Amino acid sequence: MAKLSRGDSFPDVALESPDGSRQLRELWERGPLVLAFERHFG
Amino acid sequence: MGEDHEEIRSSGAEVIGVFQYEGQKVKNFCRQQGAPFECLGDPKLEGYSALGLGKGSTREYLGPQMLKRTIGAMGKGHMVGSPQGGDISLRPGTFVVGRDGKIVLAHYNADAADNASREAVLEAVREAAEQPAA
Repeated sequence: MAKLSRGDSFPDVALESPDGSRQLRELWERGPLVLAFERHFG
Repeated sequence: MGEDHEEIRSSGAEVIGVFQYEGQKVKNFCRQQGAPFECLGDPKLEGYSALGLGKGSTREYLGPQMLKRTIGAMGKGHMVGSPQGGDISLRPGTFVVGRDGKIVLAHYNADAADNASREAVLEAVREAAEQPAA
C-alpha cells in the first residue's frame, strides 16, 4: 500500500474501543485529530 | 506524545493513540501507562495497512541507535515493556487530520525511533484548527 501525503483523504477505518467500534470519520468531523499509530506495547 | 498532549488539545485537536491490539487490551495498557489521551485498537491492522505503514528491518529496532533512544527514554522515566503479540517490526506514524478528512501532516517514521517533531505536529494542528468544517 502506498504512503499517503498531505492533502490526501485519510482512510475512514473503524478502530476498536472496549465499548465497540469507533469510525474515524465521526472523530475528525468533531475537530482536528492527531492520530499516533504506535509500535508494539513497549 | 503524552508530554505534548495538553498543548495539542489547547490548540484545538484531540489525540488518539492507535495500537495493534484489541480494544480492552489497549485501554488497559494506556491506563497502566497513564496516557492522557484516548487509545484505540487496530488488531486487524486495517489502519496500518491503509496508511502504508510498513515494516522495518531487524537492525532498525534492535540496533544501536534504537538502544540509545530507548535508554534515553528510560532516563526520562518511560519504562519499556515487553511486546505482547504485536508486530514489533511495524513502523509507527503520526498523522494530523482536518475536519474535512484531509491529511495536514503525514509523518512516517524512517525508523522505530524517528517520531514526528513536536513543532511539526503543533503547526499542523493549528492549521487544521483554522479550517472550516466540511
